[in-house]
Amino acid sequence: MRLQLRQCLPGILALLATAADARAQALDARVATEYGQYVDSEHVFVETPSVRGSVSDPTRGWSVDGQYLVDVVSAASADIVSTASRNWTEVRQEGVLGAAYKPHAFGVQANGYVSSEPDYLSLSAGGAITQDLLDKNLTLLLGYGRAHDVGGRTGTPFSVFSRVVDRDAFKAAATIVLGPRTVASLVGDLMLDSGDQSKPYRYIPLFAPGTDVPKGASVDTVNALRVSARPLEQLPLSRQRYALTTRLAHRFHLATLRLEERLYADSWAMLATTSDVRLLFDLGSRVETGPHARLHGQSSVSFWQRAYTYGPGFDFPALRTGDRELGPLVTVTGGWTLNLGLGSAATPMSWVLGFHLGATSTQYLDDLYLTQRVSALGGMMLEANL
Amino acid sequence: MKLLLLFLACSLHLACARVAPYERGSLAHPSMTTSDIAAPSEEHVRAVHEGAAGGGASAGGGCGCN
Repeated sequence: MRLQLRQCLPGILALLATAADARAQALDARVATEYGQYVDSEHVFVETPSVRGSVSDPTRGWSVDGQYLVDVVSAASADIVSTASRNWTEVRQEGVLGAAYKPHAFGVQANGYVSSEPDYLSLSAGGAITQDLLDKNLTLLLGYGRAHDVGGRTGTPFSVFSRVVDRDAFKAAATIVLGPRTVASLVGDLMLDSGDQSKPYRYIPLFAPGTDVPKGASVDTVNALRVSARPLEQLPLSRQRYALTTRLAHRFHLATLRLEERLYADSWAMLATTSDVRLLFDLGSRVETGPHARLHGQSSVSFWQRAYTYGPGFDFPALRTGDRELGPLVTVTGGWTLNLGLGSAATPMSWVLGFHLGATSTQYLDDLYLTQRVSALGGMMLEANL
Repeated sequence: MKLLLLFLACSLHLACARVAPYERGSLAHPSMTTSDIAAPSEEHVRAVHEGAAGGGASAGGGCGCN
């Protein structure tokens, strides 16, 4: 972790220097850092320090922003036990850069993204155009992004073993002012994935036809019932994903209500719905606090089976997965946010110390090994508007 | 293309209420952004826990500023 923070330091200093320079030129500059910790009932532990910043000139209409994030993941989950692997710790680094220019009603945006971990590299770039209409009561956006992912095995060079997944992402969005205190947005996403996304570590237990394998069967039960052959996961080589998201924000006298609903479908036959509600109360000029709740439910993909069986001639099912997030599940999250303004009396929220704490329960409706996972996520954030 | 036109028509219909710039003080509050306000760590946990994706960004705020 110390090494990662040392790697972050030049970026943090550069952001602070840029922000200080921006202040001298009367620009709007923001810097924020967050430290998050995640732990769950499957003994997965994640530390996530991040830093982000932006500089903008509201008069001229340009802005640049960036983010650097590190995930340090330690795991000893049921998946690890089921494959008799040792516990592991892995570090992922992520960087994002963006720029926007919107001098008048028409604007352009561009962004780039890099994520790197020992067995996975993801690169993407994208852009968007925006147009204000109806005296800025309606803003439209059209965007496109292209991602190139390379997955492999830890300790093996990509030149020896790798799988490539390319992704085209199209976005259409509208922000609509519904009244002096209410704004809404509609976002449509179309994501086209091509390539083999199968995990090279994920072995699928195989059973004789007619074997009764109960939901949540333990590692010992699965090992007792399965045949010795364990094929690797095999997913379809393309996927088309569609999402429609609506957000509504309403400002009361001393509170903000935020509602979100996302409907999702894809060519693997998964259907999902995600509802999110957040309430933020102002307690005086220096305190914002309130609850947050999120409900996510999804069906399984068409080739999902709790227990895959072999066919005549000991044929493996052509498509097979052990990825729980492709199975049917329901996730409920409850959380709380507290933001404390540390700025001057005139601008108390120019410096903000924030905390968020959340707990999530996931019910796996048709899985091996697990029927439930409980997790907690906490974070501390410091944000400065310089 | 038909979907895009339908999307545009719905947006224009919903945006029929004209709000003048001097009425937008509440819309400029930081919590009124139409983008997701989840912390980076929260976003990452969702990406891992949920099989669905999309909806991460929108077309910008309604405060009337750039």
